[in-house]
Amino acid sequence: MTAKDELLSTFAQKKEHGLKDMKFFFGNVKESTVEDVCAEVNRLYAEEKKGNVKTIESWADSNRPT
Amino acid sequence: MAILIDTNRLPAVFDEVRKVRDAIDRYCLAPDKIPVSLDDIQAAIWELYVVRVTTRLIPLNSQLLRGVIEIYSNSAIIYVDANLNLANTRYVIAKEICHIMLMMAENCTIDPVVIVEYFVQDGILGNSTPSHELIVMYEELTKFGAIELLFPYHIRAGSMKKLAAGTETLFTLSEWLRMPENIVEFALSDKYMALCDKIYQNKR
Repeated sequence: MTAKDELLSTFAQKKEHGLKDMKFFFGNVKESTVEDVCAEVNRLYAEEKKGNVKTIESWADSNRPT
Repeated sequence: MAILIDTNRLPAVFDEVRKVRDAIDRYCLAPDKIPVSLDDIQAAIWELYVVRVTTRLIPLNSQLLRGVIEIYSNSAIIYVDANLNLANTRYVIAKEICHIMLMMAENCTIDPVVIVEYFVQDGILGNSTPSHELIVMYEELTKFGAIELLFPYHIRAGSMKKLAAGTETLFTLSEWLRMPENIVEFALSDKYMALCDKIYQNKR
């Protein structure tokens, strides 16, 4: 399976679970390949699956009264 | 080929930003406080769009990918490269949050690979349709939205004066704003300020 196919498969699975939109913030991709960039998105999801993730519920920077 | 921005779409982007900023200021003890609080932006997004934002930091140390947002009916997950510094993390989050504010059926991603191809292959949309062009354009429009969220227009004139007088530098301003220095420079550029002057003056 190519990285493109893997990303498309992930996208389709997430759509089945209610995904409405997915957007990317790329770095410097101009000297890369589409396969490399898709692989990088896949790596992100692979890291999440491995548990290499820190969930941030709050940035503790609110100016609202508590 | 650079992405062509339809500047006629910017007033609508700025209108959404204004709604969020108004919601932030409505509840804050210190309106206009800098740095703008990510928690307060996220609270405003919940109040205005009924979308709960969660951030997941993933160690990527990537040159290619800084972040991803997934938007669902009442929630959104923003993935950010954990190796980014705070200023870049805040900018990525603000930009991705703008996708929630600006989301409509016409600009939702249909095929993620087409989007990747566009950014890698220098502006060529392989399966070019009007909706793909719109999707890509919103990638750029959200950058402007992020600037307006984190560095509000009405405080930028003061920052420009301080920069001109030498009492502040791009570095000290970026530290104050907790924004990337290159984005602060762009926000204060004559070109961008002239564009914003025109848009905000038309709103008065």
